[in-house]
Amino acid sequence: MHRWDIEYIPNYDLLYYRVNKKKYNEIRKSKRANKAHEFPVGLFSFAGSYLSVDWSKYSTPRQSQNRARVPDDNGIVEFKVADVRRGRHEVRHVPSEHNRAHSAICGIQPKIRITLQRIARWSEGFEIDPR
Amino acid sequence: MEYRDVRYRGQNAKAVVVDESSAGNGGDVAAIVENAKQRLFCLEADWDGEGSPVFDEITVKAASDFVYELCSQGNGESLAREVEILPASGGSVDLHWRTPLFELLIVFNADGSSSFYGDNCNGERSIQGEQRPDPEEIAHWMEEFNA
Repeated sequence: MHRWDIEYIPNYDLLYYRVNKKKYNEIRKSKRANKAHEFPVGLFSFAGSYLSVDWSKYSTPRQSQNRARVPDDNGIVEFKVADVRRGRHEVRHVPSEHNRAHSAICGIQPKIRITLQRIARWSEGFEIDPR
Repeated sequence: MEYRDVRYRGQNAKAVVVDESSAGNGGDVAAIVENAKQRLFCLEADWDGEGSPVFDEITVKAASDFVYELCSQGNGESLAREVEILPASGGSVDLHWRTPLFELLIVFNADGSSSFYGDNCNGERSIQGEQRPDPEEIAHWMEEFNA
């Protein structure tokens, strides 16, 4: 049992999501040349029925990146909580023992992925250079 | 069709070469599908750095069969030409349409399940489900945007 309280995540906060460079570039290569600039819907990987993110109240983009197995292999994208909820998705704080920031975006997988692709932007300084 | 040499699961193989410039506006659907299949089968385990497995033939076939079934609908062939067949984590295959009029994502998962969502790019006129969609229903939904 972890020691963190579950809190309400306000609309004005941000959620951070790690993007693996290998994954980003492989999916980009599979896209048509005229669409390669778009965020691919395949970037967003589900753990069961939810997508894991970090809440900006308890994490910076750097801390989120450092939670990866190989931090340098990852970029960070961010979403405004209000934009996620505008797509009618649930945003929940789900702290774990080692990560108070851990949160979840819940809903139907393809709908969430389309929403996130539309609202995602790179966290400044954590972009991935396309290869 | 033109072919190029590729490595497929450690073996030499042939992949269909698609002219990407024509694929978006009238490219041959079979070439688009076969090229995508070859690309998927060329990806090795952990292609995404997240431990994803190699693509299962059953999952890839489920996705490609859907595209071919869509082709057999009224205006389905021109709709099928716009699809992007993309790798996703966990061995899933995405069929993705993103046009100025609508966006649709159909996910074929490695466990055999499927789900889909589409709308008019603005959250309206949506269609969704947590099962394999009916190609006829999808074709009808897409055609409404071009009516």
